[in-house]
Amino acid sequence: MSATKETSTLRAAPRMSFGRWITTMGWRHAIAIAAVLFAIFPITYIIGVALNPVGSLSSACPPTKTGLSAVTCLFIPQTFSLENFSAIFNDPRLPYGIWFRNSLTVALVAATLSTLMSASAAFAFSRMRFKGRRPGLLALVLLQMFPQILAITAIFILMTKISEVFPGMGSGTVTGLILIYLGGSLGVNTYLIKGFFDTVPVEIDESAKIDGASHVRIFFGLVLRLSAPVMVVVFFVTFTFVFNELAIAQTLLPNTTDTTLAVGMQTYVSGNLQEWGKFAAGALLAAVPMITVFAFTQKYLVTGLTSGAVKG
Amino acid sequence: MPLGSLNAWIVKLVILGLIDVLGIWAVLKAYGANWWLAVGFLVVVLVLVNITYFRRGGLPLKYMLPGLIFLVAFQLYPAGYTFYASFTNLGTGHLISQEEARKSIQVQNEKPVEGSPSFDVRPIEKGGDVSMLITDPETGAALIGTNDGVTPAPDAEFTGAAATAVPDYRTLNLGQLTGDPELDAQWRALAVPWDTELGYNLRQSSPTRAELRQSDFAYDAQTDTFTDTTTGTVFSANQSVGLYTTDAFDPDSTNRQNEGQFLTPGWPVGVGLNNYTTVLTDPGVRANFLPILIWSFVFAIGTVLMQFGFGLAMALVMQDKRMRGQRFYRIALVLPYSLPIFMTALVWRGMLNRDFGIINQILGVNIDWLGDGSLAKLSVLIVNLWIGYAYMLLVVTGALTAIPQDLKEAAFVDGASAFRAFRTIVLPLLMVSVSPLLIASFSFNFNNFTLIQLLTNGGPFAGSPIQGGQTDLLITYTYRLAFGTNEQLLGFASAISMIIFIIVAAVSAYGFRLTKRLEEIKQ
Repeated sequence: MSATKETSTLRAAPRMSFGRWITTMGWRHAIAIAAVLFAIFPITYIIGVALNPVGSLSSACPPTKTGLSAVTCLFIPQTFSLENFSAIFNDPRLPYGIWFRNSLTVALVAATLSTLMSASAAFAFSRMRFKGRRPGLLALVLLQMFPQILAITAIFILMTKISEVFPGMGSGTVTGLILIYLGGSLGVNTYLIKGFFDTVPVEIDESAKIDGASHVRIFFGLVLRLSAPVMVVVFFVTFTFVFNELAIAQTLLPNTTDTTLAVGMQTYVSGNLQEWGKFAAGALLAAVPMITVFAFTQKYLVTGLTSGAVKG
Repeated sequence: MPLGSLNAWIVKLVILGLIDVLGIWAVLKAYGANWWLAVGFLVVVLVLVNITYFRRGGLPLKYMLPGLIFLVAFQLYPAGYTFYASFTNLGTGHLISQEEARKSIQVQNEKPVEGSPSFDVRPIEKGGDVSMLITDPETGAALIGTNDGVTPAPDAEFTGAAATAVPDYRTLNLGQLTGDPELDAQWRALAVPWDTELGYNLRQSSPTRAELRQSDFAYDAQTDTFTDTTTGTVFSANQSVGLYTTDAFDPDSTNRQNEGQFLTPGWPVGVGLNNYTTVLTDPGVRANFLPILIWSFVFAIGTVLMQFGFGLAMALVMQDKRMRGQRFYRIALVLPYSLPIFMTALVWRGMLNRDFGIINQILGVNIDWLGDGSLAKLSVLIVNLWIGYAYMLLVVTGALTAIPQDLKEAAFVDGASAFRAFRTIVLPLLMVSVSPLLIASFSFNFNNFTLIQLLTNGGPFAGSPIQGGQTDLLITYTYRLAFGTNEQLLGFASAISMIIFIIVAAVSAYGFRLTKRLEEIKQ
């Protein structure tokens, strides 16, 4: 890596004077560096807050520092202590560990099941011709415009009823939340995946059919495999959406002793409780699952987001 | 091959068998709870599943059915119910069915019967249902009481004169009751009809004692009326407002003015287009609604333009392949997109804090960023720019690489300036592929509940929160109407939900028509 870089510098150096470098490359670097500072300062700042044992906002940066000297607080932690990280796991009123487990379970299960079910339905829409196909597609487009948050009243009433008749599945349960997210993501995801399936040439599965492959084999072995980018993108988008979802989660799991991260985290810093240190520590840990999923999927994200999403 | 397909067949049989067992159990549960809608849905699902997967052919349905079931139950049904609810007065005081409301009216207005003997009772439980084991003070015999009446229990065991246990049932003590809120609630709600003619019910006063109580209101099923036994006032079922009302009740007056002329709770009834006309014509509501509607548009459009503009600018800055450190820049710039919003929105709230926030400390000022209407709006937009530009950067980068290089170069050969080449060749092509995503981004941000709730909670507020705040979107305003205050206005909130749906659908339809036109230009 470094070797290739060096050769490129060597090649570039004689061709470019400093003045020319400024007009072609320098301004690009200047803008990019400014943008990077804008992008990361809230993150580096929250790291500083998390590592500060006092745990209030003002303690993260000594009040004596004002103006430009306070800018250092944004990028360089002033103290180092892991106290906040252990504290969040030892508070039974605000059980961070349970929130974390709930969020991860809900997001993983909902995203996996939704991606699989949507892909399966999309296969039918993309590869088969049947009665009701066009109205079905139209219904999917319309459903996309009715996000579940608009039906939150109805969801609340439905899940309350379910919890009375089927305890363990309605409001107040992680299972109930998963069911709702599944229902909400299927329409959009089916439409997205169908768009991508359409770009996979039908000739491929036709030749497989001639070779005697069953529809199950064509679906799992061919179409799904060729559509890996869009599957990854749909998984990522659903995971992110569910992990971040607030309105439905706080309606169905309002109790802070058993809820999700999105609902729980705000309790650290609302009302009289201003535990910014604990909040910062919890927020940094909460970012880990999303960054992990993002890191695994980002390779596909650029192609998947544009090609899959655009083709309809 | 035959062995393989046999195995597959067995697996299929086992899975379908499990689904059937589970489904039948669920049907029975729903049936036991008299929830007919669920019974109907589950029966249809069971029949459909069995037909679909046991018959030959019908391949499309085999692939679609699993998703379809969840879609109908948890998306289509809630959407349909919202539509229905928007034409009703569903909400506080109108949440339960007329039958339940009737029971509630009787229970709420109960008082002890004078001279009632004290009954020896025990809470007993079987299969999660709580009943009352009663020792009749006159005969000394044991009875089992439920909400439907009493049945003799000849095989009960006695401790002294009081019946304390009965076979097949578990006798609950105080600890078991308080330890299980579900059982405790059942025990407290248990009203055993004792003398139906006089309207006496037996109700617990402690885990071992019960007394006779009587409702002030005598119900007449023939005329569907309540009569206040103390004053003689008659309340009849009024289906236009969903309440039991007197003849003096004036539907155009407020609840306060009608005090004493109706009984609570009521039940939901259809109110036609009232909820919609209220939004558009009621001067008080319109004064709240209009600014929120305008800000929702400003926020959604402003967000899309800012995020797209910034994302596009950064994509262009880094487009030059000779630029070094591209990997680093890209990773750092995309970082905000890979973080949870519930984290970043709250971090920004902390940084913008007037007294302790780092922003004020650096600027050396004391500005209440989130406490002033215009500043709060500006802050919300900037924070949302930070949160969302990276998504646009990814999208634009992808779309730019898809544009053939020779097209861009051709423009230069023609002698066009870099800016002109970009504006006339690259931008139109870019818009074709990203405009559907811009439309999607608009509808997402029009309903960006999470950001607003976490950053400003809709504030700052000029009056009471029910009137809406300076940064309230329609969706946060609606949520507050439905759940945020003591009075839930679910029907009214549903009507606003439907209005949001119509707005988003109309804007999307218009946007897609524009996209179509763009595509035609391209060809």
